[in-house]
Amino acid sequence: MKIYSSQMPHARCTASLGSVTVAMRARRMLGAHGIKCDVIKISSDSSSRGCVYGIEYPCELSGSVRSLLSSVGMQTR
Amino acid sequence: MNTSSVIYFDNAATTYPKPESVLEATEQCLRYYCGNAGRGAHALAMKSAETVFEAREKLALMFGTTAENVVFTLNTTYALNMAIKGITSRGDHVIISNMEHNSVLRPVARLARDRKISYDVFEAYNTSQRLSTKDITSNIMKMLRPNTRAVICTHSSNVCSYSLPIGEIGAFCHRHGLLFVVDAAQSAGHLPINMELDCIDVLCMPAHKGLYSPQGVGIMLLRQGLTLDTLVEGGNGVNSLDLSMGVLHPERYEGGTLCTPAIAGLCAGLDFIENLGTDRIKKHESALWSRAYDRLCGIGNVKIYDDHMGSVLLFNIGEIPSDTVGKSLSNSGFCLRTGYHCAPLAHKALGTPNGGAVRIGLGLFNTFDEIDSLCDKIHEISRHSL
Repeated sequence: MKIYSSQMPHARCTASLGSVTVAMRARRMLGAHGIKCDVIKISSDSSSRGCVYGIEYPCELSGSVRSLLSSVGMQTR
Repeated sequence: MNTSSVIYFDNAATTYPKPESVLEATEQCLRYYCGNAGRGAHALAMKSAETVFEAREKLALMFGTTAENVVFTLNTTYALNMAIKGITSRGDHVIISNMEHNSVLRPVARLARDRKISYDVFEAYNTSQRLSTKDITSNIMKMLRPNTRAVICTHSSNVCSYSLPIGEIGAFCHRHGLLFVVDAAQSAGHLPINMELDCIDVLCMPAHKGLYSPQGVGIMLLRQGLTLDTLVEGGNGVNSLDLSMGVLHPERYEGGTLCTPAIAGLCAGLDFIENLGTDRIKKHESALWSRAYDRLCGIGNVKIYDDHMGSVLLFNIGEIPSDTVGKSLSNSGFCLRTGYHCAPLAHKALGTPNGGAVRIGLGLFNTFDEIDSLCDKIHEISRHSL
């Protein structure tokens, strides 16, 4: 999982997931576990293959996000 | 053209009218938020993407797969082409039924003509005897070869109300290591279908028939874990620098812009169907069918081609060509389809004459009064033909 984070309190982290459908599915699944996140487009600057979609969520929940996504086999990069 | 006085009986081609909620949802999308789904991150693109995802989730829940395995296409024919061409490789053999629409027959025949695959047709329907499920699976068994890749068949015929036992055929396929592709053009929304329970690998359907949604959207649902070759390549909003469509479902199969307004309508159509329930829909259509069947049986020279109860009834009046009957009915405001209905195999199985037959395609919004008016008119045409 490629996670971009900031050291600021209440900072937002992003996880790159691929397509908008996968990102929305991740958001729905995380929402069901009480984690609110937004679907975002991650620009081509940060990916060598062009734009992808991902999610943005509170950095303090990174551990839970990581574990929930991998529990449903969601590929992140 | 004044269409307010027509009586519509061509619901097997496309349902009409559409529920008010479907019209509203389609218009709302076009009017207020129709960005390009999956092609950006601005507010309208994201709102459209939300709508498309919502439709995928509803379809996944209704038919037993997952949202990312719901692929939007242009129509059912396109979905079936994707499925048939996506699962087969050179040297494969496939088996289709004798009730298929051209949307299955033609792509299979084309692949066979190009010597890429071979195919056989199994008897799923016979006018002289009602085939049991065992007869049907036994007929498929006779066609099996070592290189058989898949069984591809319709769930419900588009020329009569006969339905194939897809659950049993699916179980047979999985027992024999075959893929099972189902054309649900006439059954989605009319009959319960569950990909998992019915052992279906690929399920194809339209939005604009039994799901009471706008034209412009077909649906291909994949069993989780199944990946097909792509039929079309192009922009899908992801990894634009790659030369391939990628591996992620459903975008792998969705080159080009989706028809978001129709998909918005589909969301409302699915809610409409869900709220009513397929049992209630089936009950209403069966009651209408029985009324039409009973009335037409009372008209001496009307020939009805099949007596399975459902939403389609096929008939002819004496020796009158079906097109002539259709024109006469159309002149009186009735909308029905005549001819071969793009299903030559099914017409052959049913034994219709040259010129095909007249099809009554029933829908949720038809009434008993409309059936009576239609049957009165058919009776009148019949009397004049004697």
